Amino acid sequence: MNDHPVLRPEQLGELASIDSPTVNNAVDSLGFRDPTEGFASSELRCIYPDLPPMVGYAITCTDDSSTPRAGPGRGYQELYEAIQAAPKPVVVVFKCLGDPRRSLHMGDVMASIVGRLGAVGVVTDGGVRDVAAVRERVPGFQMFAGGIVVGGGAPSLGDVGISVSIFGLTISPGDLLHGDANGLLTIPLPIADRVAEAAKSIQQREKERVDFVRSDGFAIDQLTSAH
Amino acid sequence: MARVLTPDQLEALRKIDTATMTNAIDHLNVRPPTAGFASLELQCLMPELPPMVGYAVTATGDSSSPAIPGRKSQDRALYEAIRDSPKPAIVVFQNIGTDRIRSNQFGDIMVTTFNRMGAVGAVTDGGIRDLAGMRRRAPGFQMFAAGAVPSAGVSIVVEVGITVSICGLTIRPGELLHGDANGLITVPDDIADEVAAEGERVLEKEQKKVEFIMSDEFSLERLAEISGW
Repeated sequence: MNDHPVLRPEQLGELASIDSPTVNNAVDSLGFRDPTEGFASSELRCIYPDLPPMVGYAITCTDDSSTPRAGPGRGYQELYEAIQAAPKPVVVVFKCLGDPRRSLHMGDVMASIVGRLGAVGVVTDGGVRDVAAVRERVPGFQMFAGGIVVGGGAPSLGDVGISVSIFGLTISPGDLLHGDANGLLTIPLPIADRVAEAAKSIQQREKERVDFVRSDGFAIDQLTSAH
Repeated sequence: MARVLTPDQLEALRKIDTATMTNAIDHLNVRPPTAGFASLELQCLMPELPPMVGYAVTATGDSSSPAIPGRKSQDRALYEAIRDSPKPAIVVFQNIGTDRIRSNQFGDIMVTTFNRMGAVGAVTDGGIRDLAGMRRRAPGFQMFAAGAVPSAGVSIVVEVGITVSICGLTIRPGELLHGDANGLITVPDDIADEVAAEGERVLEKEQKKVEFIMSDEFSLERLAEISGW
């Protein structure tokens, strides 16, 4: 993450004003990676689909609450310190080390803490809970998860600051994440400052095309030649 | 059969969200914190409703196997079990057909009947349908399922009053269930009458902690002190 400049607040704001599919098209249009890569599969659920796009830098860790343990688990201080020290906004990424269908990685108290430290969302292949309380206590905080699970289990933090894979999306510490109701992708840092502009020209082209498709002049032969 | 709580005790349980309930149960040390709840495969289909609390009436169901001549649906036994159950009841169907995620266990007519007989919710590891009809015909009735499927299939009740397993949660007939947008749990019999008070203490403690997190006093060092890291 040191190789590339942190985006200016207005650049991050621009990215947050564009929906994730258009950002994904924009990344593809810049030819930087294969269009079949760079996004999480449909198994990753957006818990608050009404929220605007989430944009932030990944702080990653592994975590497990589903494996029974005798003593107390490892606490989350190292993770909180990493969030505090990172460029903002932060998206906290939890890779489940236990049973992802029964593991819990975010609730309202932890969301309050990480939100206070500058996180705007969480991503996990395991579960989250307190869907109403998180919305109330940390307004605007987004959650991407395998689903919702009620049991807090026996939480224990694993490693912080490692590369993880969430439903087919590889996420490294410092990666720029973009997500909304449509799903989650990484924005490659070397082209991050060019994505918003590319997205805007895609939005313009799509608008022109849809205007034509809905117009009285619509015809298939016109569609193929002019669009 | 679980101990039957008073209406006031049931009302106290309905005031606590299900996530807080699991914390409260964990504090009372009656089971491992990794047990007693269904996995995230079980979806709450009416997440806007307040917590559902009731006694399990259990059965197995099958809608995905082709019709077997002579096999008779145990509808009457099911309805009698709901009638005889302490109230409120929650009807729990485990799929035993060939294909769980193509099965259909509950529709709006069945749910309206359950509701009329004193059930407040239904739970299945398979599918359901008629969500809009359920909302209209049985307002306030909660539904937990793997998801919605449109076809009823060849739907029958196979056995009534047996122990079932729903997305990793074992549910015995008569067991007390608690569920909301966060998921579904069983409430252990031994602590059913004291867990609501513990839940209130958990809520109060969390409220104080969140007020500290949002206050000007907040720092990681202070949080570590308070949390005893």
